[in-house]
Amino acid sequence: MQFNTIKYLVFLFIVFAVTLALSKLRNSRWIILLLASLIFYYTWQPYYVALLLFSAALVYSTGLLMGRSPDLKTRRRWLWAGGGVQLLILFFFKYTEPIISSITGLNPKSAEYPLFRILLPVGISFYTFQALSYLFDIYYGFRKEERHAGYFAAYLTSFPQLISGPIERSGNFLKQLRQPFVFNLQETALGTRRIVWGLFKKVVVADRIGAIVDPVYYDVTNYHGAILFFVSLLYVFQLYFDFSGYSDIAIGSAEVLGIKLGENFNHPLSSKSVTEFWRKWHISLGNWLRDYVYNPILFANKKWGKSAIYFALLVTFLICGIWHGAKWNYVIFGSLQAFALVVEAILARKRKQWANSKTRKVYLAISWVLTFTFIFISDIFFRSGTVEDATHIIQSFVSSNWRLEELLAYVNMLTKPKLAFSLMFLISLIIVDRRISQFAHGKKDFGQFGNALVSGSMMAMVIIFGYWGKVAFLYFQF
Amino acid sequence: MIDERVNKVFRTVFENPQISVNASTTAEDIDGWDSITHLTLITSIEAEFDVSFTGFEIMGMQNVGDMVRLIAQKTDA
Repeated sequence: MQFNTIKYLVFLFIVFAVTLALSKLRNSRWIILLLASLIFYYTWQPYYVALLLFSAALVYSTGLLMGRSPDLKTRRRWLWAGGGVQLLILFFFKYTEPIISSITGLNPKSAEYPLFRILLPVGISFYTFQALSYLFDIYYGFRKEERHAGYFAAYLTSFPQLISGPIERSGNFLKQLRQPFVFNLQETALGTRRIVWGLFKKVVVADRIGAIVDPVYYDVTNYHGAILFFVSLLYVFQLYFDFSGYSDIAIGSAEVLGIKLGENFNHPLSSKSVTEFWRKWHISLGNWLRDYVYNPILFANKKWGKSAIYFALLVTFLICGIWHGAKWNYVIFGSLQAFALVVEAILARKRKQWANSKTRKVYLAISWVLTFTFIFISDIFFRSGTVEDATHIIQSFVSSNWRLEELLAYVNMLTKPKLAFSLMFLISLIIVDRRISQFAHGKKDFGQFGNALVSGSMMAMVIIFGYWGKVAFLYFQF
Repeated sequence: MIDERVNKVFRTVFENPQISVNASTTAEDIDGWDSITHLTLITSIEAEFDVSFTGFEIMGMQNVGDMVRLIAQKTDA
């Protein structure tokens, strides 16, 4: 059940109604959330519900064993054992096929492929991240182990963030779930607003842009500079509006059920450094990597001084790259991030001076251009199936064979009103994004009439112009 | 006493003479306290008190109070 379907909205409404109807019953919240989440997951992949429950049992019991361990050494052993098994499960599903296909040279989709196809359980990366964060938090003493199996399972499987995050820490989530559900019209309205806003980004804008980008990316070697530049630029916005739209729906859904999840995006495309970008892009993953990968590596090697920072950044972003897929283009994507972050860390003092100098505005403008160009280039590696494709695209930008007529022919081939609409929506979205986001966050008020007008037109546009349920969210593949 | 010396280190590391930390201060309260300056802070604290923290101890610090408690433990022993 994708978020961008009517089915999901009906499902969410039913869960909300049941939560509301049973709100007087003690402990009803975790039961409803757990059942709803299992049903939700069942609609995706019925067999893998068992795997999800196994992971919940594994991590829950590891937590108990860690809590009962008298000393740090035993706690660490349990952490490695339980967390290790969960990681192995993730590795098995994510990397078996790429490894076998690289050894045998066979495409997993071909008939001669030696193994049965391994279908990736949806959301496995994200619930593994939540599972590990729970265990690390016990290990570092941020929280005590959760003794109630039901509450723990409800946390790990919670459907709003199950498939693609935001990756939520257990402490924050369970504290809220333990409170009785109190109906608050304003919160429900804000949650709904957030969902509509997310749907708008996804079904009206991102999917329309995707329809322009995908045919070209399907076979990039056939195309030249102008058109590749055009679609690669569009892709930067497609990815952002797709994934942030998804996050809005996730956060809005949880809000309707009375749970506030952490934010996942904060206008990353206006960042003036790559460092800032990673604080504003996929925030929950960035925090996870910082807390459980970067910091432990950094502090274990703190004697190296500044080199420890560079080393920790490199390892962290290589992991970030490879997590997206066992392919060289993702390794390059991760390495590029690490490289940029290291350069910025080296220049940190200088950058601060420039930002405080008289030419501050010029410095900020140049920084934004450089940062955006960097995101643009690294997203080409992210989007391309192979390194060859990505290098072909980048080479085409500097080649003299720019072929503007190819772009014009492509634009001519697309239905004109459709293209005009898509670009108009995209440009207006870029312009209003910040203001409407604040409105969807409940931080901006256009007055009673204005609020109704904005909400009404958003909803109307989603209904009239939306590509309902036709295109999967980009981050579901991870 | 420890509190004052910790505060002095904060002012030097973050180059801000106005900083005043207390037990519940966290990274969010101080401008510029990010994952990169955190290392400078830790090594400066270690140098000031002539102590050494393990990676595990640093990871477990949730606020300045935790840091001060650890310093007290280490300088007592």
